Amino acid sequence: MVGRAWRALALAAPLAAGWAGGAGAQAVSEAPSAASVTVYRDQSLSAADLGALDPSQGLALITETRTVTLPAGLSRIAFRGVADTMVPETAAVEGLPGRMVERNEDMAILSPGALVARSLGQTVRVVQTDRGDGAVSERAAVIRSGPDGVLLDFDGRIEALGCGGAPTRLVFDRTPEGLGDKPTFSVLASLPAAGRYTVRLSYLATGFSWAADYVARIRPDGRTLDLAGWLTLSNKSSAGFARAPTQVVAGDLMRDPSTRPPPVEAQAIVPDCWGQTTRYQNVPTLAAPAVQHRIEEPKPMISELMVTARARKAVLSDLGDYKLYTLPEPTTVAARQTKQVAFLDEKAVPFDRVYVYRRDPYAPRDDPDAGDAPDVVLRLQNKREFGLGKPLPAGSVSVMEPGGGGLVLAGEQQVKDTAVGLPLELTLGRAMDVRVGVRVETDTRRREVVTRALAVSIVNEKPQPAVVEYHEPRIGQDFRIAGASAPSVFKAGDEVWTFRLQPGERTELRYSLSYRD
Amino acid sequence: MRTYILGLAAAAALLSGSGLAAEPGKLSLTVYNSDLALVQDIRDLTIGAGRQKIEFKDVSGRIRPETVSLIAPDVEIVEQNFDYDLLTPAKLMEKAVGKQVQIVRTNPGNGAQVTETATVLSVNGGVVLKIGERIEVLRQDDIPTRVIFDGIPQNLRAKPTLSVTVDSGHAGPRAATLSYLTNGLSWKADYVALFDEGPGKLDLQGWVTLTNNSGVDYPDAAVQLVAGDVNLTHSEQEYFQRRQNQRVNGVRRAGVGDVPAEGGPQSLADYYLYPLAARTTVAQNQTKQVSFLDAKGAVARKAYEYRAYGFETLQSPANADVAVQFSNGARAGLGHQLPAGIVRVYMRDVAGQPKFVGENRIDHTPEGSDVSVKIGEAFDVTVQPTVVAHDSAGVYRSRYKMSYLVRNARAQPATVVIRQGGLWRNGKVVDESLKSRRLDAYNLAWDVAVPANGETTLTFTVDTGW
Repeated sequence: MVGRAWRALALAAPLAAGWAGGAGAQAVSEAPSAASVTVYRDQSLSAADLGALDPSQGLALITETRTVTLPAGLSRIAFRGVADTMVPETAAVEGLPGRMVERNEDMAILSPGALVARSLGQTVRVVQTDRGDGAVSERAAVIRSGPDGVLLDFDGRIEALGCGGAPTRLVFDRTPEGLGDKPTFSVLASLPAAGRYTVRLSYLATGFSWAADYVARIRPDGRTLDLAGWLTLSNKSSAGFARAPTQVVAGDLMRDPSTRPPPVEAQAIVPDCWGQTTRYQNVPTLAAPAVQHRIEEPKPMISELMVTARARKAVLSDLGDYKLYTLPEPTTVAARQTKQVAFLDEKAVPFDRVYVYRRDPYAPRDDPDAGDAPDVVLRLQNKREFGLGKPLPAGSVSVMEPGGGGLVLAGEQQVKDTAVGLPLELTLGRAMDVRVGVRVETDTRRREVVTRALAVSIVNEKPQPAVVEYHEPRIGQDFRIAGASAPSVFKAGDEVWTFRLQPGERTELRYSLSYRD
Repeated sequence: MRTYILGLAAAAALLSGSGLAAEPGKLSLTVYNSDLALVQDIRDLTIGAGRQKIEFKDVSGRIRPETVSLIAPDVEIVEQNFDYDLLTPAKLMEKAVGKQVQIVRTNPGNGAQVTETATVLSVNGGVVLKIGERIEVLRQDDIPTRVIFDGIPQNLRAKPTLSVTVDSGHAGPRAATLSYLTNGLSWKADYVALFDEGPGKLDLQGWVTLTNNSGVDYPDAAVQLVAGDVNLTHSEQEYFQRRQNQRVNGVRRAGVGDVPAEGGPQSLADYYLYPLAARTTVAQNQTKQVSFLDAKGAVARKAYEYRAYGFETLQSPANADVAVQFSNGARAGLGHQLPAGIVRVYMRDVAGQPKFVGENRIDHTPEGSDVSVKIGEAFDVTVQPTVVAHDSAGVYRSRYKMSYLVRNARAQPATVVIRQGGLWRNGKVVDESLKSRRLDAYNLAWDVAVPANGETTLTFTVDTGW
């Protein structure tokens, strides 16, 4: 397979012919002139969960426009003002003619410790101020070790820094080469001509996320609801982009855990004076993914949001197999901020209110008269003919119901991504005035075949009619309904009986089932 | 998918056969995928006649000292040491036990300084000193106390230092080759794939991402990258023994296309070699990226897939997986082997802007392979499986009647591959609404075509032992 290896060599050879060493011009692009931000969803979150994300979670695609003036030939262009959560290996630089030789992310940053570490063996000035008379003295010394315990060499006399009691500082003549205040992303490009170039820098950055939250308001008719959707943007990075065109992507993307910003090491100077109170050993270096400020974000008040007048909505389009929402106007996604924008506002969406009881075949058998409350479920169809027909990104739905002269929170639920055409079920909670009582009358087993007879009583104490669904899950092999007082239908793995009960009405279902254990 | 493993013997051939070697004053790095690099440093050293010590201060702090070799003409190695006993105030004090130091106390009240000579008796969780006839603990009273040492012991160093004691036959300058393995250097491949669904084309850019956390800079180094999951522990000793025996004359200057002569076919394992064409400085704490691939217009397609590993009912629909599939063959594809790495896929939005649509890892992929990269889940294409019946079909056999409701809310038709696992002994299809493909004894697949804004239900019945 040698041939294969040399082929690779031949392929790579034209890449960087002619470049030797670090020669070339240096240019710095301080900040973008414009930027756009596309925010991806971290998980299926609601706005209340966004506050718990840290800057290494979440994802955004950031596209910046920058202008740089460059000479002909080899130039190293440093890009400052990028998001601190940038993932450098995802960067793309477009708009430079000629050849890109390499690109670098330098994580070594200027810190007190780095200043000492890069000055080992060099002469610095040691300035002392006498506490008594304020006299300032200065001596030259060579740094022999550090930054974890700094030893100074005063012409052959070795002393540790900061142990004599007098206020002491080190004075350096220059900063070590190549250390900036932040990790620096730079590219090395070979340009055919000098000029002023407009460069597009795009990259993935963590710390950005968004969530969808819905408010469903049941109308007084009890049969339709108004559904409003809000998307909440969150920026946990320390980068802010003013008036940036902003989009969010709904859908589950494959992610790799290694796509995250590299750790940045900020070193301190640690004194070591041997004394019992001031002696430090094994002082860990500070390794933090950029700046980590934890802030408690207020849980957004959904009910307050509703009082805002009709909001301008985000515009929906397709991106591959995902949904792309474009915010109605450029927005400023400030550092460590959340922001909410409407994306859905549907009026009078019809729904069915159904009381659903699903028998648990493995429930404990210690109470023969156990009565139970069914779940209250609102059933919607996400179709245009049913008043909806919009993609619904996963999020939490708060259902409000008229009551007590105002609105009452009837229940909250997480929903999954719901495409157009799919049914949507919102489970509000347990019913109060609809009861289901299940009694297993006989349970026999002969040669692996289990046979059960059950009696179910259902009662509606509500002042309105109620639709009640009773579910018996199919389990085991050869499951059969051997006989029943009413016909059932098969739905998603369950035998289902449906009853329409008038106010105050009670009904009874008797059936027997068998299966092979 | 074949995996290319680099045997260590291949690394030997690589070192002796590559054009990187034996340029005096030059550094070369051979970096592997797995946090490992071979550093070869060729310097002009002026070596005197006879026995002497040569020090290398700028070697990697994560050097594997047992792999060091120094080769120079007419020079014999007596011993080599790697001193990583780093100089710190604590170490300096430990080395001062039994010796005299000066201590300077500053009276906090009046600022008066008192200098005394003390003997360090012990350094065990505190420093015990003998001052004259008094025994005291240093700084027990927290009074600021300076300690003045009159030197630094030879073997305490500010940086890890490699020292080699040699015996030279003659005095004079000559090219010496220092080579060693070190941890802290690694590389990976990062790909940017721009997928254009309409014409079914894919552009792929490949970047080598090299990371240096080894503690030192490698200035102006020739760099080559070896793709393969290297396991070096078995043969590294053998390899370095061979290197020792080879001496400097054994380093061949091979050009492009040259085939290293030494080593039989068994020593040349499969590997990919990516030399960077120009020398570059690999700085400490740096991530460096160099392009190695820019291929346009590979034939590519999007595929939907749903994998059922058993027979189960889902109460709500599940989203189908979306994969981008492309050929890596010479004619319709990229025609380039792909070292393992992360592929980040982009598609254009309605405004024509490329947007990230998902990422996944690929294995080392030889030319001629078909590559499938799962990028995410389709918002609009869903699959809802239902076990319609699960009946007994004899002793230790079951019959499953399944239904898969496949919905497509997109404006274009879609074909979803439904894969059914969970078959075992004598698994067979009893009936089916669409023709299945048998992937193997345990897995079936159906291509389910779903119209735009429509749905298709796949039903089938299978019998299987268990």
